[in-house]
Amino acid sequence: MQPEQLPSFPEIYETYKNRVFNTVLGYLQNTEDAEETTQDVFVEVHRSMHRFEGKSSLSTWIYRIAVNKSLDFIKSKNRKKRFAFLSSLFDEKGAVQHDRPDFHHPGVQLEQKENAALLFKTINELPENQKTAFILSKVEGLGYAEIAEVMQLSISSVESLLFRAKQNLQKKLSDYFKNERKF
Amino acid sequence: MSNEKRIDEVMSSLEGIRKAEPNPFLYTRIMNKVEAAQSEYTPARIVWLAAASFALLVLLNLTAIRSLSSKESASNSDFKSVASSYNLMNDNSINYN
Repeated sequence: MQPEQLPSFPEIYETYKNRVFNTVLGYLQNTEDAEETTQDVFVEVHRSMHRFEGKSSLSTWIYRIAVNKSLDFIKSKNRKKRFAFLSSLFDEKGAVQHDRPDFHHPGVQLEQKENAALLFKTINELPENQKTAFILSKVEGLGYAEIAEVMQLSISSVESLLFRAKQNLQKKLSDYFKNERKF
Repeated sequence: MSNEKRIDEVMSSLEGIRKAEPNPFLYTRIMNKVEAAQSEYTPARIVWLAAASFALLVLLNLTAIRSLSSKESASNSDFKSVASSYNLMNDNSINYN
């Protein structure tokens, strides 16, 4: 798509809002956080759309922003968690760390709710690239070619990432069921 | 149920997943953020003007400082020549004559 053929920002928002929100939700697993980050994605789209050169498709460009903003949010949250842990060591009252509640994706079929919650919890433990490939494939339903464009990798690299992500998830689930341990 | 079967069930739990939809008020919030960002934006022309003014100020100050120090050394050498012509310079020798 040539830059001069770009739709208006309202049209872009209507077309891509669900895709962006769904992708971000897959990473952040919290509706409030996902809405905040979705806003950041579209603010960035608005800010940068005049510089869009059309080297990739509009869809790929927007997905890329969504992936980067999601990963940035996770990194920022992890930094805050580490700081909170360190400060709790010196806190006389002693801060109690609670596990996050299970995440229930609103688009999952009802009978799969509990299984999906366990899967999302396990996805959280994947390395970044495997997590991205898995979310874009299984949560967003993108094909290998589009995932490769978003991640700027070859299709064979995406296939390899998905294979390793699946192996990793199966291993972690196997350990979980053997021990029936809580995360 | 075997663990392998449970694993397979979990791994396929996202099949048929529908896309989640965001809050309908999200667009309004986005436009508020966009407008807030635009009102903070300082045009490049003003930034360059401020930078040029600052550079001019520094240059003027440096020139003034240089001019001041050269005047001081000039007045210092005038003082020395007057003092020596009247034998008022301290040459560390005491003349008891």
